[in-house]
Amino acid sequence: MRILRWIERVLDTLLQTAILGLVTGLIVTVSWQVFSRYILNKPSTSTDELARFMLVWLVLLGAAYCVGKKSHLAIDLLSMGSSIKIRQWFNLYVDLMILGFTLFVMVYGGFRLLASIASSNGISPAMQMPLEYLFMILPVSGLLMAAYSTLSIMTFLITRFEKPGLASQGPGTLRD
Amino acid sequence: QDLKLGLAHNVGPDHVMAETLNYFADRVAEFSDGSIEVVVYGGGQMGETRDVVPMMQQGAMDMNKSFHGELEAFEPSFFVFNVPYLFQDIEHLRRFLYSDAGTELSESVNDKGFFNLAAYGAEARSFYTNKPIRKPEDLDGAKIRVFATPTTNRMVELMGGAPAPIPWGETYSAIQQGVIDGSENNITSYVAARHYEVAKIYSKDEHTMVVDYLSIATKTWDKLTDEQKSVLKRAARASEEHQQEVYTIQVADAYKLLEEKGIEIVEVDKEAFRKSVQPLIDELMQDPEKAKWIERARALAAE
Amino acid sequence: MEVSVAGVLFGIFFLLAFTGVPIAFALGIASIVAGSMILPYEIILTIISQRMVSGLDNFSLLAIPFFILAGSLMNHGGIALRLINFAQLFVGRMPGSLGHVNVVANMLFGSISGSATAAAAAVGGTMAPLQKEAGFPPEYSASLNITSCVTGLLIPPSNVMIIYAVTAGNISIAALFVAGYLPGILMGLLLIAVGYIISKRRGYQTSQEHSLRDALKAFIAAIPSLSLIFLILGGIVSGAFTATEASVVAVLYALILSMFFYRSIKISQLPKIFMESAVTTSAVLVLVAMSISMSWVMARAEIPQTITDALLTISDNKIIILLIINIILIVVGIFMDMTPAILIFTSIFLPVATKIGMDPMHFGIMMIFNLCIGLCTPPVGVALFVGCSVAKVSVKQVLLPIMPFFLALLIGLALVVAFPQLSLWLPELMGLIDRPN
Ligand code: NA
Ligand code: NA
Repeated sequence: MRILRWIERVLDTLLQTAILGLVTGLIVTVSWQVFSRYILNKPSTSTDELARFMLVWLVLLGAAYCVGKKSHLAIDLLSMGSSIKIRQWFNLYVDLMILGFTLFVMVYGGFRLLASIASSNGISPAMQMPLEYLFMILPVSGLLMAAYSTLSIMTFLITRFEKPGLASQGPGTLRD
Repeated sequence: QDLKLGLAHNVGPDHVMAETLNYFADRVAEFSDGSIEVVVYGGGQMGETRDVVPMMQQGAMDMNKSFHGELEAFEPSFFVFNVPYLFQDIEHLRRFLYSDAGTELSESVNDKGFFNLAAYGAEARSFYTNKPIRKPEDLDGAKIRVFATPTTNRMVELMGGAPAPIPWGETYSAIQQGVIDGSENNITSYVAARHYEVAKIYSKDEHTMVVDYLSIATKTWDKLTDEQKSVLKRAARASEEHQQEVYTIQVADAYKLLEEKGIEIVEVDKEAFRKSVQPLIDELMQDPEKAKWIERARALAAE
Repeated sequence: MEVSVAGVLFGIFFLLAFTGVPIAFALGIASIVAGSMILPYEIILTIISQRMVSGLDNFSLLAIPFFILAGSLMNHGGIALRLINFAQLFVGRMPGSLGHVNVVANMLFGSISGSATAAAAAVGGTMAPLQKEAGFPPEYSASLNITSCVTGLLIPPSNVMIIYAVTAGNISIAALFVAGYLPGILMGLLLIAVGYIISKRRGYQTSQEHSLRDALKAFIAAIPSLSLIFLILGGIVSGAFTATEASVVAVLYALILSMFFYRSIKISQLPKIFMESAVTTSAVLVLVAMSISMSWVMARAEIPQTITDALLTISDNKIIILLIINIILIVVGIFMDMTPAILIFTSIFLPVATKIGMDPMHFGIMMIFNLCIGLCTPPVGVALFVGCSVAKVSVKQVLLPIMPFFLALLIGLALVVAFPQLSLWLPELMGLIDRPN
């Protein structure tokens, strides 16, 4: 249990650092775009592309963080009125769905896509950057999401079968 | 009907290429007696060329229309159409497209999982702003919207301007409000996007060319019978001819419309522009692979 | 074939969404299953992953994190109170004035933030105690706050408008923003009218006269916030900035204002504010990413085409088709949040709308107006929930008092549908629509 908590904290810290870096980077990049055009009178030719790529990374890393914090938008009509025990099973079901999606689409599909992109050597028009760097975020974010949902599932199983007293905390409540 | 093929493109329904591709689809139906249907997914519904290429590799899309700048991201040789003043005019461009060199270029993407069935040439691109650009000095410091590629950026810089990578859809208001001083494109796009309303002087320096391609996935092609292949090839040829007819009419209409609207078409000192980009040509010629394509295009120039 | 793909797509989506699977993943999983009916599944997995990234790779979408961040910074800067004081200057002397102040403050707040719930919380949270003290029934003030906080989605800047413009394609965000002004203001005015009638009948209190001094003070205090409105919208409409550039200017402005002038935010608080905004942004934009995957599956299976044909077989009468679309959207809005609804139903209904000769910009305003109503209804209505919680009333308590205001919104919707000029006149006047002859 303690190790699960430790892993989660490491993931959180890593993601927070990356996300804060990207937010700051985005503000600087787009501000520079405005500045270079108005003040320097020499429009920057690659900030647009750089900012778009940073946004993609930001959103998919942020989405992984949302999986960890269970803060994705959802309609929880069914579980809302039910008991804690039933809610736990609902949580397990949701975690399994997320795990399935991330492994099949973002990791497996993502790697297939990367192979396809690598075989055609696609590059971005402005920065001349290999497109693999942009699409690499798919398996990265997918693995992070998978890790978070696995942690949540394991917490549920441990609390349920090993220490019945802790079960009432349910999955997703192990963060402090 | 025995076969259904998907064709993706990213232009609006009024664009000459949308009309040409519908014509292609109709001819395929006609030549195959209705046994092959081409479903056209227009307006970028399937994504941009960057995204449709992996779809063609995977077998999720059969055909795609792309312009040469998009293919350059996959096969650098398509840079040849971005070389300023390499082609004299649209006839020279078409001679090149339908020559052995053009065919070789068309097929150069073969190892990426697709190849080009048809090529469609368009008029050269020129600058349009609110002042005449007769010589490179007139461009000094002017912010010009470009489709950002290293060659294009370098070209505009050498001519004295500042390249600004503004999305095409935002160019109209950007010129209107003075965010940029102008843009560069061919006469039909200048008219279609109504940019003449905000940038009233079209300076015909004719720096680079525009080529559209119709590509088909190798995966799809390999599954076709010889008869089906010949139907697609015939329809592709017919669509090339159709595009040339329609395009000629569109260009004439565009000039007529600009005259009615009182838009000034300025003839420029092309020699001065040509000289200003010589450093770019020299750089390109240092790369033997690139030099080869430039030489092959030059060889087809008229006397 | 198209019909069964559509059935599977929507069936699985609703099944998953209503059993609590996050909407983004419900969209993604439904797309896989439906997509596997038209193409081998491993290809669909690859394409869905690709559409997610390519859908997000869009400069216009960048405005969303920046507007969210700017809104959050302005919120910490105590902007709501300054706007409320300013709003009093306009409607302070009408019967039930505090209610109208709430509406106007929501409209002003909406001109800064692109989110309805931010307004409901910031303005409603400040206003609710004041209104209670003045003897307004809390369920009345909550109803008014709930229905008026959504004006900010029509009054620019508006994140849902950016999402609509991106989904519809080929729509100028600047023009769409301007198109929202009159419908948004109309919405606010109708709510004030209903509130006026109710207050007059029930004799709700009017606040006392302001002295000129107080008025001037309120005005001066509101200037920094009001200048932001002019900076952002002026910048976008004049074309000086793109929407995205304007949004980053808003962030810089809010940062400077709250850190150096109001001194309401310390540098040590920034990481937390940045992180919150990033999480909100990701939750919204990952929905966009998944819907773009879903749109691809729908387009590839020719579903929008099928639905268009089906609707046109029912009738080719413009009014009947618009009626059907609006009824469907109202039902959708009852059960679904606005962003996924816009993302899904734009690709389905926009082709029909275009076919019967509707302007895509007008259609977007109609759709957003319609779905605004849904934000105020149970069981899924964020404006309703936030509005109730800040006024400390239960959802059940407001269900009856909110009815007259719903009626006002429905009348507003009918006017917006019937008179395209309400949406199109202003952007045309400003030369933002370049209309092919
Ligand atoms: Na707004
Ligand atoms: Na609702």
